[in-house]
Amino acid sequence: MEQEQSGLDKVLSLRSSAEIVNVDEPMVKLVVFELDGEYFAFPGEAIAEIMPATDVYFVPGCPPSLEGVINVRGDIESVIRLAELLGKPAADPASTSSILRGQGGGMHSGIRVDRVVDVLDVVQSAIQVPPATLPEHLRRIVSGLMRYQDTPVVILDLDRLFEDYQRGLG
Amino acid sequence: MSRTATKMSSTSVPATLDVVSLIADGHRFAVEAAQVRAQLSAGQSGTALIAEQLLGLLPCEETQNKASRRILLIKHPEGDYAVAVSKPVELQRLETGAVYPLPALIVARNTLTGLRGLAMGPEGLTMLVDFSVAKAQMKHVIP
Repeated sequence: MEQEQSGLDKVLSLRSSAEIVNVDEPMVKLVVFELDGEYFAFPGEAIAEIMPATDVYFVPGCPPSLEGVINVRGDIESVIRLAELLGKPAADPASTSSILRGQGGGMHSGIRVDRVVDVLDVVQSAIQVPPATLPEHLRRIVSGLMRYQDTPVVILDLDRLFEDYQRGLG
Repeated sequence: MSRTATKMSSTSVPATLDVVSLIADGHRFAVEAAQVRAQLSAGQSGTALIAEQLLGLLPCEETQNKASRRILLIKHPEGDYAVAVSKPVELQRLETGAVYPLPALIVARNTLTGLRGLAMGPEGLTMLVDFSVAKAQMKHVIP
């Protein structure tokens, strides 16, 4: 006589025989960096390079948010101070800040940040839509939010950032 | 064959660019030497435009000192005009490879009038300017 299967047996049986389907969730590469103690990120495809320490040449007539230009292997690129665009205090010049080489909106420029934290791949579903309560000046340039080691990370849209900067942001 | 060679040379980029470098508001600027007819001492010209104001810079006290000034006579189809610049004023030959167009964000946000390009050399960064473009946009004429 065959013993009747318990509910648990049925569940375990189903789970053990279930075909494991490998679902590839879309991944997004992010360059996470710090500004005034907060974490931000750019999509990896928008960042060409994390620059080593380099001389920045001042160009008169630029707003304070435009630090100057750098020589990148025989080419000249501008450097913007992201902190000023986001309404944060500028990094201490003596600190070991970094420059990211970004490309977006059909142009490219160096971007001064306090510190590069990490370059990582995250599943797209881990990125949340930015809340409607964001301050006005951030609403257009923030593309998402996520958490990294329990710290909130604000993901920025570099295309829009450069376009808005061209139009007078900061 | 020679015709082809002539045509190519007429469109080729020169290997060097002669410029007259000057100091304005403590920064190094340069104007293409082909635009400069002569360099005069401060007393040799009448009315002269002040380089800092022509370029949209706020002059510092040092550059207001007339004794440290030279006058550049700039060629113009409607008549030459004089620009007072700070010393040292030097003729320089720039390698074409050291001359760069302005980055897009500098074009969009820089407020200097007449800024055309940048040059990078051993002495640092030089702002390449066109005084005629600056003059066309100038708001103040200095007696």
